[in-house]
Amino acid sequence: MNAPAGIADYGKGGPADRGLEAKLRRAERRRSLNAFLLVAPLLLFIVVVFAGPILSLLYFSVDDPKLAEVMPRTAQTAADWDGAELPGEEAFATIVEEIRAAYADRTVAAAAMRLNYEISGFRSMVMRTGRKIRRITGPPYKEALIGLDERWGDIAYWRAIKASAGPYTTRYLLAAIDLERKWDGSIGAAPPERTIYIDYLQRTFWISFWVLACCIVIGYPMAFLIATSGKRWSRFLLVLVLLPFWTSLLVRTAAWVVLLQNKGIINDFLLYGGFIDEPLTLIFNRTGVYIAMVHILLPFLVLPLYAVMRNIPASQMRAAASLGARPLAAFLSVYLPQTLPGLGAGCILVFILALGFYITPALIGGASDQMLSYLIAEFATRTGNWGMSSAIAILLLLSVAALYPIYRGLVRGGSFRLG
Amino acid sequence: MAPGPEVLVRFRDVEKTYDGRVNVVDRLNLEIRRGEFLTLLGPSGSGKTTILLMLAGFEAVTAGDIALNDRSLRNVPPFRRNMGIVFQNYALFPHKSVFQNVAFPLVQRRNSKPAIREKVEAALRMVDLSGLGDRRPNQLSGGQQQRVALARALVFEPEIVLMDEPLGALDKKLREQMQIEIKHLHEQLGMTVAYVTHDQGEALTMSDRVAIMNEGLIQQVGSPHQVYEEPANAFVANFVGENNSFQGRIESMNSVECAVRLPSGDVVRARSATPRAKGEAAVLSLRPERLVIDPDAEGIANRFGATVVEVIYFGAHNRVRLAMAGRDDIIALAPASARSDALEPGEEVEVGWSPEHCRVLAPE
Repeated sequence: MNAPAGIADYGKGGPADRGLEAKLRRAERRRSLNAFLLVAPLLLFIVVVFAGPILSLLYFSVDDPKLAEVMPRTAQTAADWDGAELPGEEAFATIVEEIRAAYADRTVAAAAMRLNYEISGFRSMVMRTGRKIRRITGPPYKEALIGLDERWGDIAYWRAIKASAGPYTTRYLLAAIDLERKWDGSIGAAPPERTIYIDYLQRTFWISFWVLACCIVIGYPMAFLIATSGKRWSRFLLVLVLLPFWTSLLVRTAAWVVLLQNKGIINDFLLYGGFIDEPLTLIFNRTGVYIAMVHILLPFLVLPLYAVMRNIPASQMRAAASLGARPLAAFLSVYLPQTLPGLGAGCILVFILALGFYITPALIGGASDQMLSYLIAEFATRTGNWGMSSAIAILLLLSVAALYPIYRGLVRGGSFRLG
Repeated sequence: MAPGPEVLVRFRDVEKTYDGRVNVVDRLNLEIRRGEFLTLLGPSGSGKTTILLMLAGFEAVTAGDIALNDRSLRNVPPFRRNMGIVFQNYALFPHKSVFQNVAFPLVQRRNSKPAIREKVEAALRMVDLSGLGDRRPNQLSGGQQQRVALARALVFEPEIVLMDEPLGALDKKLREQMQIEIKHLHEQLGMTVAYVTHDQGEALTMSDRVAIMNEGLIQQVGSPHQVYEEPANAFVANFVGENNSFQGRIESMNSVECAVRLPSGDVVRARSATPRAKGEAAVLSLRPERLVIDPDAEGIANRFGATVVEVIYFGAHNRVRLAMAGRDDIIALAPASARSDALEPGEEVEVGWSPEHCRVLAPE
């Protein structure tokens, strides 16, 4: 080796440097392993309590095993059937046999319940058939079954069985957006008596929107006041904002019931003061829901806004004024744009939380003030329809996910485009 | 035409109090002349920033009146006062580009687009920031941000530019460079500047006139040379520049000079700014650079024996601490020379100063 090559080696990283690189790599590996171990519990926690439930939600919304569990061969026959004409003798023979067996095992009710989702009345029809099934002693099963209940001769019921054949279904997800799959596989509008979900979705967004609007109108000046007033005042106001945080949601909602009812404190005060002659209806209607939700959600708007506003020095507005901006122009072109990130964060927080509200509308609202969460709870706890419950939950989840890009756009617009 | 410089701003008996008990600004009578660079100099809490805030319209005047061009500013809101302000933290708008920041006052004044472009570009050229118009303030260095703030305050040709410790956040070297640049800008553009600082070096370097504030009161207004060489009172003497002060009593006086007896019994001859009576308590003020050490002390009116306590080398000069006249905290700044470089602690020397450089002041 000649001398210049040696110098070049030294410059670029010769054998000695390679040893250093290896040492560096080892140190880096150790550090990233440590970092991973530190994060691992959190990762596990997120997988268990966040990803897990969402995946199971997705699964429940398409899972459809009931009919196939109880009457596997009927489900198979129906799935293979083209649905164009009433099935033949063989299909009738299979269903008679399986209803007989299921009735004896007392498992028929679960399958009947599932069929009832497709056509109301199917459940009692299956149960009655089960009770009378011993009257059928031999072929031809087709006539015998139609003899027990003539609806067995109606192709619609057989199509319902085909739709329930499982093991997976899209009916819950489609139903959550007021659609259904027709017997020939096409997707179309659900019958009017079942198209309530889009209404609920619209109402949920509408209520959330107005709650958000009220929160901005009340919360923005409030955050400004807290951020710009003296130390003692701002601490006092902050406690007022935080106080509701330290009380349970249920207690606060119950307190609003006490305040808002016809013989409640607010009405008593207004009547006594002579402001009104008759009590205002503030509860079990939309007004009450708005009042209580705004009160509960206000801190979520005020706190992020306050955090941003506190970091805007007073000299910003003074600079704007000294440069010739009138108060409104100074606010719009200097102050507001700088608060947009906080406003955006607060808005998204309030809106998303509002979308998922359940207790407050349930306790304070009337029948026409219920939101999507009410349906989720209703399906899950009252009718045990986990498929429908999960499908609506997914609808809610997707609505929230759709808001995220809007939020990103708002924040980016705030710091780079507006003004 | 009225003789003498034209008055732009006039403070008349202005008072300001926040709590109703203590005046942070008291009996303020001050004129700012058109085209001058006036500095309000004082320690923190002396009320100088409050004066600026009242002038800008951000603080209400408790009593008295401020007039701009002989018109009271009492009912003029800040956005109509037409004053450019450079804030201590610059107060640049972080969400706007440099160009938009500088254009802001012109946009508010509804200037046309081409006029705005032309003026902003000229302003950026003036502060040496051409080509950086698209940057955000947070992408600039502290010195560059300072220039943007300056350009923004100048671009709309305000009646007066107010600067509130604008260089406080910069490091020493940059601060000194900006001092010179601001001074040059002032000379080129001829604008009126009211400048607030607590840094006496800054005040002396940049100003046409300096107003020295303490506890809400103006102590002295004068040229840098006047406030340094002829301080009106002991506060000014101590606050502006370095100062050796001696307590004493007036022994005798004539039309130009006093003789003051120090507690040690030594008698010092000095200039008096105001007529004083015999036997009155007095404070002598002597600048360290006026105190000379032998052999320069020969033949000077005030001559004393002293002991060198400490010598600190500063390159261009030596800072010598001396024990004399019963004190050991007397400072002399001796220009570098063979003699002063050779001074050693413990050495006996002869020191002196001429009466014209030593001033008799009223005690604080």
